[in-house]
Amino acid sequence: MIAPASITAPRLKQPSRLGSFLGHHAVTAVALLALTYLMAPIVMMIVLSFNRTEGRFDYVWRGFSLAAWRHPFAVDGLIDALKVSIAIALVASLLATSIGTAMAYAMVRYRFIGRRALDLVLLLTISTPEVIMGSSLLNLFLDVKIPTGPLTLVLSHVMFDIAFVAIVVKSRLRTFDITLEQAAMDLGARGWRTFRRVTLPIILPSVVTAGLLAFMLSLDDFIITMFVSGQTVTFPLFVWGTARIAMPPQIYVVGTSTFVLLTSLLLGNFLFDQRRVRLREKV
Amino acid sequence: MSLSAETRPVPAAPYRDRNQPADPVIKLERVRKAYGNTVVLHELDLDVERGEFLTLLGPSGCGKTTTLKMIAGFETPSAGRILIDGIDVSASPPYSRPVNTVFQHYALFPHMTVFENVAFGPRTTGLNRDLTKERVTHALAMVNMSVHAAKKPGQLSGGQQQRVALARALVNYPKALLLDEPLSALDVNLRHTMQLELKRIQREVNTTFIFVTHDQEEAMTMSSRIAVMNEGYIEQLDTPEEIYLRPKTQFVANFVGRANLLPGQVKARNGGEVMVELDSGGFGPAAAPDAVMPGDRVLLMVRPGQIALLPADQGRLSAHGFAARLRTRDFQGTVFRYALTRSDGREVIATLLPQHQLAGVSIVDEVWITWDAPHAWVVPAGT
Repeated sequence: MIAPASITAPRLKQPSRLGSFLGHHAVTAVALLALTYLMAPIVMMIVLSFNRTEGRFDYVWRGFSLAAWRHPFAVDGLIDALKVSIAIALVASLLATSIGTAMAYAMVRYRFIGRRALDLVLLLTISTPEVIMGSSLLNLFLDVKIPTGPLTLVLSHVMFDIAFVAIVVKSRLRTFDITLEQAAMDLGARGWRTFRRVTLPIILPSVVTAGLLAFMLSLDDFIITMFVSGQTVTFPLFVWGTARIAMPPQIYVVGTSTFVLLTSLLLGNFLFDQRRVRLREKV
Repeated sequence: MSLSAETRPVPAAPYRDRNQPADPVIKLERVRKAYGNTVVLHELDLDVERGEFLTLLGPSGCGKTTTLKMIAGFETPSAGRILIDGIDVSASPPYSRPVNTVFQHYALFPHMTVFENVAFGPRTTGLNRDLTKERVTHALAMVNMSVHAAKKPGQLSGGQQQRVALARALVNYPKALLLDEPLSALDVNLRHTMQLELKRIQREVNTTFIFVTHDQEEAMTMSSRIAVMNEGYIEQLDTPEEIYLRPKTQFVANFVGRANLLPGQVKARNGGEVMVELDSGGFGPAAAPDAVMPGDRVLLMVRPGQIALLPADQGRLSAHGFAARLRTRDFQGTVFRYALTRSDGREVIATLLPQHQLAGVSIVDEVWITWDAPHAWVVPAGT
């Protein structure tokens, strides 16, 4: 086919060497910037844990010291607060994971009155501002005459943990192959047995992830905890308390240790998943 | 189109063991299934005989999979009853029914080994360890998968997974095995191999197999009886031979094998044969079911392989049939395929062996189409 002389294909502009270089690496550059922005506070925390301290205000670098690491529990009340936080987070996340998983299963597999409403309530739970949640909960506990303390903490934490667990597990269940459950039923297994021997083992990674998420949310929680903790001191509350006076580097030691621990857990989980993929245990 | 009283009794399954009770192992009585306003199955009656290989054959949406699911217990009938060994199981859940299913995509438990998959049924019913091990080993040997007992499903090929699914179902000694298009995910060569394998295994365990497929070749190869289904009705329930040679309706004639269906009217009847005057001109004899009488509107069915071609002048003088123009002629690997156009514009397909080819005939030439009476059949028009 002969094209008329007046119509030609658009001329491609030859890009400059510098422009081409920047274009190719633009995404990498932006990614590095984002990473730096996110890691900066964590790096600060790690660095400051090695700070040599004198006096009240410790945001100035005075020199390298391992003193904080050698005596991590030297600060009064720190270890107690940590124990309280871990205990509450453990109880709340275990309860929330069991209830949340059961809830997710019911919502995906069965039809019942209020199912749509429940969906909405879960969404509201995670999107309502925590300040409002916290003050409402406090009001509730005062009205019902439950004394604030560990009990109200666990009750409140379970409440918002369930929402996150249910959402994670629900989304996993939606991609779960229902013919596996049908096969189990076909072979004679009723509801609970099917769940225990077929469904749960397969969705377990998602359940564990949801559990870890709930644990971290509880451990870290500040705003709701502020309202309903009463006299109980959790670790975030402790940090907030000391920050107004003097921040001991032991706080950064705890923070760094937590960071290292969680990163190892996540890395371990990731490597375990890779191993499963290599063994072709697909679902 | 619903079939009323049959003119011939439906033959019993040829593989039935004389020592087994004679009543059907599974019975569907006036089973109807509707989703809201959509009727998927209309008043289905079906007797499944012990030890037979019954195939439910039909296009997508005909209701064959729904029927299978209702026997398995994954769907409940909107009306009617389902009986297994005389017991009404219509409301029973799948785990209470003495039947097992092989699913289309196998549904093997990915987190369990092959052995554990097959052992799932026995262990669920509480069978002791030793007996379970014995049964599972036997089942795996029967499908030639003993060597892979410790592997996980993700490490197996499609054909291997299918065998495991089969073993997992059969190890429970079900009253009937339900197979939902299990071969559709396999490539062609593997399909042929597995078809023969399934037949062999079925004979060995002497269990009733109920097989669902849309592939008519597959149905013809494996079944002792086929139920051809269309839009929620069983159009014909017969042996493969009967369905191929003597289809009851136009749908069955078209669905199983290629068929030339020529509209016409019955002019005379002589014993098992009728003479048909074709709408497009010409006469021809055919075998016919008892109910067809002179004056009836019918479709004359001749399979492409049963047509003989003669030079136009010779045929006009000496044989029944009609004239048509040659449109195309292709070589199909073992036979020659002729496409011919009749006077009314309709097409006729004929397949001829190389030695029966018509010499000296080229495109657009007129040719005489003829056949032997016993090799043609009539189907009532409007079915």
